[in-house]
Amino acid sequence: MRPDLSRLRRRLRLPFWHREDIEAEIASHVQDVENETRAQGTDDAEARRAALERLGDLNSLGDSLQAVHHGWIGGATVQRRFARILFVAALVVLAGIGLIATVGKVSDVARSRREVGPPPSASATSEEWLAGHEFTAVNPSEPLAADELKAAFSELGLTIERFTYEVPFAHQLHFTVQIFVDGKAKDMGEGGTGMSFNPGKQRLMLIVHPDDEAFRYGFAHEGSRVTSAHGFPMRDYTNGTQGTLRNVRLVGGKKVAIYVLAANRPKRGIRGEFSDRSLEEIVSMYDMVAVIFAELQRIKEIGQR
Amino acid sequence: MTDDSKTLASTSNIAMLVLSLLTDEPMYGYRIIKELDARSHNHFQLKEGSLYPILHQMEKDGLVTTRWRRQSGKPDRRYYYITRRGSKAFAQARGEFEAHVKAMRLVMECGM
Repeated sequence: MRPDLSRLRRRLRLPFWHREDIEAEIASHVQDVENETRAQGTDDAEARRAALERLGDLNSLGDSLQAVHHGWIGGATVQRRFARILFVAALVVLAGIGLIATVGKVSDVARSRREVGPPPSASATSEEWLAGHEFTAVNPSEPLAADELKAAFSELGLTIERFTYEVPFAHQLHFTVQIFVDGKAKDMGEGGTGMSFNPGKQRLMLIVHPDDEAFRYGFAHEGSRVTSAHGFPMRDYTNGTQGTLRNVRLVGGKKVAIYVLAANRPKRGIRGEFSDRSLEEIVSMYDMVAVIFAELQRIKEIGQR
Repeated sequence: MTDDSKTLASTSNIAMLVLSLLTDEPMYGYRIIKELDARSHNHFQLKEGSLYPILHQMEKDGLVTTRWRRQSGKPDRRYYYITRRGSKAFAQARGEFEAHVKAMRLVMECGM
């Protein structure tokens, strides 16, 4: 479980990918210290407390790191992360430019037809419909609509699902993925990702990108981003379908399925929407099912058992 | 003093010790702390809160570079690698340090 480094995060006034890179390093360090302390016979809570204590004052560490990183684009790992984000942004912009250019060409062609004739009859050919008519195309100034954004992300092979929920106490959401092959759960080992949240209404984005090589996913929340990858090969499966399960109810201390990606081997050809089916039903229907589970955990004060 | 050794001096002797460790192999933060502790027979017990700002400053100065390494079932680790600039700065600082120690020893032995 990722340690709560919110006090450090608050001191880092940097772009989210830059901040996340720093936080991931400190979290990994805390985890190392914690594992070592636990191996010496200390219980989990005490090991976590000791590991965080060794870091010293998180505000002070945050200030020192902020001073180093202020006005700096970041090191190699940050720049690679930045390059990936820039690449996706560039693709979206290029797709937008392509669309605008196409619309511009249509508009130019339309403007070049100066004569406006009477509407042609229903039996007219396409050439007769086009001849001598203007078709106005205007670039709208309003922001992109939700379906336009969805289409753009779809072009990039990304599916985005959003969740909102409200919990009255500080908590963590711990995400795990389980793969079922031919109805049987595969041993995935440890592969969880945890995110800490304050009390109140929360917004969470799940970014899924299944591709030929592997099923990958990431989570985003208020600018912070945690990504995780799974090496489960997807190339053997086709006819995939995916969806957010309806009526997701987060339950304290219990794994709840929030998203399913299901696919069959070639030539089976089962397709369908399953978002209101039960998980057991989906697992029995498909050759391969990947399920993302979310587990709500209350964050206790340090030292509280 | 060259620019590189000035940079090194400004980030304290810890930077020199870190570069010395990284000359052997790339390491992540916690390993650096453990190695410093072990190799100095518990003389250099560095606090995490002190190490990371220094490491990041060293990266900013181009003395080290970093790369994330995946770990099965555990959080990824950020490894620090010494750069060519870091090696050059370390060789220079080491030479100056040894000359300084030699000079001090000569003075102290004369007085005995």
